Amino acid sequence: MDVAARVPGLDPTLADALAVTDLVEHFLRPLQLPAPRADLVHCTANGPGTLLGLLAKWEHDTPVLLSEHGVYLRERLLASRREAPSRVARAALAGFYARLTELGYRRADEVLPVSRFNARWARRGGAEAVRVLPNGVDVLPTLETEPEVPTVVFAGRIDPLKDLHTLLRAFVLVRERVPRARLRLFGGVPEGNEDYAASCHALAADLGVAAAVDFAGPVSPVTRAFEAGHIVVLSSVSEGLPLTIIEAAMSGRATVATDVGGTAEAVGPGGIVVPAGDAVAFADACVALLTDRERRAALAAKGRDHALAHFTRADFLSSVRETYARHTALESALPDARTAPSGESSFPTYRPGEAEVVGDRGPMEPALRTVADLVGQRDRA
Amino acid sequence: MSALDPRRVALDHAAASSTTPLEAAVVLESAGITDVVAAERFGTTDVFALGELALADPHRGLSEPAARPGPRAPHGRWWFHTRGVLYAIPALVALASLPAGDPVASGLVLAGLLAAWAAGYGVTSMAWTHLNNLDLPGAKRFLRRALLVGIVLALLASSGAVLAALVFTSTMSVDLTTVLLLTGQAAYLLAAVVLLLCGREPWLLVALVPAVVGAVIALRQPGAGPVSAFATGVPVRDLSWAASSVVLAVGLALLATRGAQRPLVRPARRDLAEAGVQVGQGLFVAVLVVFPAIDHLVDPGFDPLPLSVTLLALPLVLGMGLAESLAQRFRARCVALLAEERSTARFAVRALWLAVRAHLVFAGALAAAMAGAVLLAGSGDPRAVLLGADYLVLGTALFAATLLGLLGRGDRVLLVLAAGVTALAALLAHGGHPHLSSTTAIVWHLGVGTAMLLVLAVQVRRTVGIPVRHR
Repeated sequence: MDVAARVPGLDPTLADALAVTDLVEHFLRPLQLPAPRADLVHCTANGPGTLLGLLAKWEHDTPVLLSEHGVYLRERLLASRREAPSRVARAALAGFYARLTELGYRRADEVLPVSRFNARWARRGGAEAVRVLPNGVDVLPTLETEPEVPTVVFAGRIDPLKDLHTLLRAFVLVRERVPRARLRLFGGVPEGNEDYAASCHALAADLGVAAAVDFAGPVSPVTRAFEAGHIVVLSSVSEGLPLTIIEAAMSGRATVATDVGGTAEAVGPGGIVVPAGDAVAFADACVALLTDRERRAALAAKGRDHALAHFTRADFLSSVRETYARHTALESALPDARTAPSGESSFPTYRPGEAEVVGDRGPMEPALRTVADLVGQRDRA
Repeated sequence: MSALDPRRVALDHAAASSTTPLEAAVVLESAGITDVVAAERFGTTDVFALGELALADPHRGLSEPAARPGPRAPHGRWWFHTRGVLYAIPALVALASLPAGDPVASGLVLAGLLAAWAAGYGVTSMAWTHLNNLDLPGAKRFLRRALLVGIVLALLASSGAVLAALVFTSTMSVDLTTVLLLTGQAAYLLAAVVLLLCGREPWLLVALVPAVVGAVIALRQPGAGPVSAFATGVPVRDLSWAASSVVLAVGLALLATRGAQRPLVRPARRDLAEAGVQVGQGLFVAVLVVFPAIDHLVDPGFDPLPLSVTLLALPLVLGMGLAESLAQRFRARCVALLAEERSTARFAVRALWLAVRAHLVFAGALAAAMAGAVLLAGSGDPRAVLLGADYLVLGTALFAATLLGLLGRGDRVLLVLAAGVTALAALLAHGGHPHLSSTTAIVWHLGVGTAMLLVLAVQVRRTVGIPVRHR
């Protein structure tokens, strides 16, 4: 509330104080849980989840890693603009989120942002040991064919952070210059985003492009979405390191994306990056690629080379293994961990994103227990 | 750089709509301003510095977004007033229709009433657990199941109780009708809980029509005036009208719970514990209110008042609708006060005044209603006046308990109610069974009510000024 009180023009009331303390109490609930026992805690987001890792650090001196896909503080600030009950509450929560994430950044043994963009937020939050560890994807075969009709593809969840309204407005401009163009949006509607999805349908109808826009829903594998278009686009206002862009590049598709988060790092030389929220620039980029086959192909090839060089699953696994080994006593049991470039020899059953347990079961068992796993166990109990 | 430059517009927007530099930085980034843009166009080192620059002007215009409308009440406050009527009608119908003449039969009906009353409190508490999760379909599912399971349990329990009465007592006045009466009583109370929680007061009013018609017909029969449910020598009246109301209420309750779905979140152990507390509260409140009837049953030599003591409890039952309305208004005014006040000390004073005023309004309305009931019951008997005062104090104490419950001190309420019931039990356990018809028993009941009121008033005084209690 001190933060709110310092903002000119804001005069916090008791109701504001209660609303904020309610929310803060919810955010701090992980502190009620017992400290997890593990060889290492790898928090995959800053914020309340990291508190559980810090509990382990404070009580058992467990090493804590913190990697962020999206910047938690950034996304909470964006969300509080939509959800906070008042401006005062927003200011107070902004102060709380900043202190909460600073705690995670400062106390973690190593912060592993997925992009340089995220890294600057971590450093601003007080992180000292920061190393960019980009996500990796499987090497995918290059798509050789394109559809007959000029098609722009979006692949991702239907979410306000994707700013699909700007995408739809840009598509109207694309249609003015490429009349046959189609827009296909692949992705599900998460719970709570139904109204936003409805607003997208309504906007497409209002703009007169409903017939050319296809809300195709979820698709698997995602390469089927890329197959359906000439270019893959992403119009987000907030991103970490977008896997959609990396997978599209790996599949041999040129991309158009907004310059937010680590998107530019993901796109690299394989596409065109435009300012977020700029429908005209977005449309210009789409038209440039839809109407120039050679340029499209050239960018697609460069994009695939970029993805192969920086974002392969093998490289990612190797980095994770090296990091885990460096922070745990398992280093001695896994002498080749630092040098193993790829393969599954050091952690035979390791698969990224899965919970694993070591400790009592011995060093050759699956390696580490994640916070998500521990929280899940508590919830089930 | 023109004023219409989108970057300048973004900077102005960030300055006007953000509360902290970091928030401004996020807004700027979302508008496409990167560190490079910030450096090239605004001369700052990065977006963070630009965010600080945006908020550096103390005279910047703050654009407050339009206030979002709060959650709309499902129905108007007017219906809360009708709740008193909804509570009172069954009591009136019982006066006119319930069987009487046998202490065992009456005891069973009374015990069934207490159990169903307490169960209603527990069901309400559990339903609110779902409603507080904004899970109306889950609440409906729970209510529907509670109604159906409750009816089955009531049927089994009443069958067992009647069988036990036939085996272990000398009564021959209990039979299948008693079983149906007990089951119907529980079914009605549970159905009423369901309909009220679903905001269907009008439906409940419709369901009560047959019972009211039956009661009027019964009262118009020669020699059939208002009688105590437990007075001797009164034949069993036609219960088919009341039964119609019960069936109608259950049917409407099932209709009101259409759209039931599996709850989003399973109730936690603490929710069950809270429901247990509510069951205890319901039981204690019921015992406190119907204590005169209990006392009568314990003492077969009871010399009845000119009109039933049950009739004198009617203003209190009617007043519960007003109590709910006043409690809701008290809560709304306190919320408004929180949004207005910046000082906890001033809030404490103003909230206390709101509480005092609510108590005075309730006590005044109840006193007026009670005076009318006393006049109707026979002002010539000083015991009726004393009993009226007794119920006035008890009613005000129960209103204080309602406010205290709203302030999150249900635990204290339970303790006070339990102490009150214990004191009444001590009276009954006292040698010689002094019954309520005697001035001593009424004074004892009044004394217990007064003590409860004082303790609850002190608790309200200590709690109402704490802002966090109004969350």
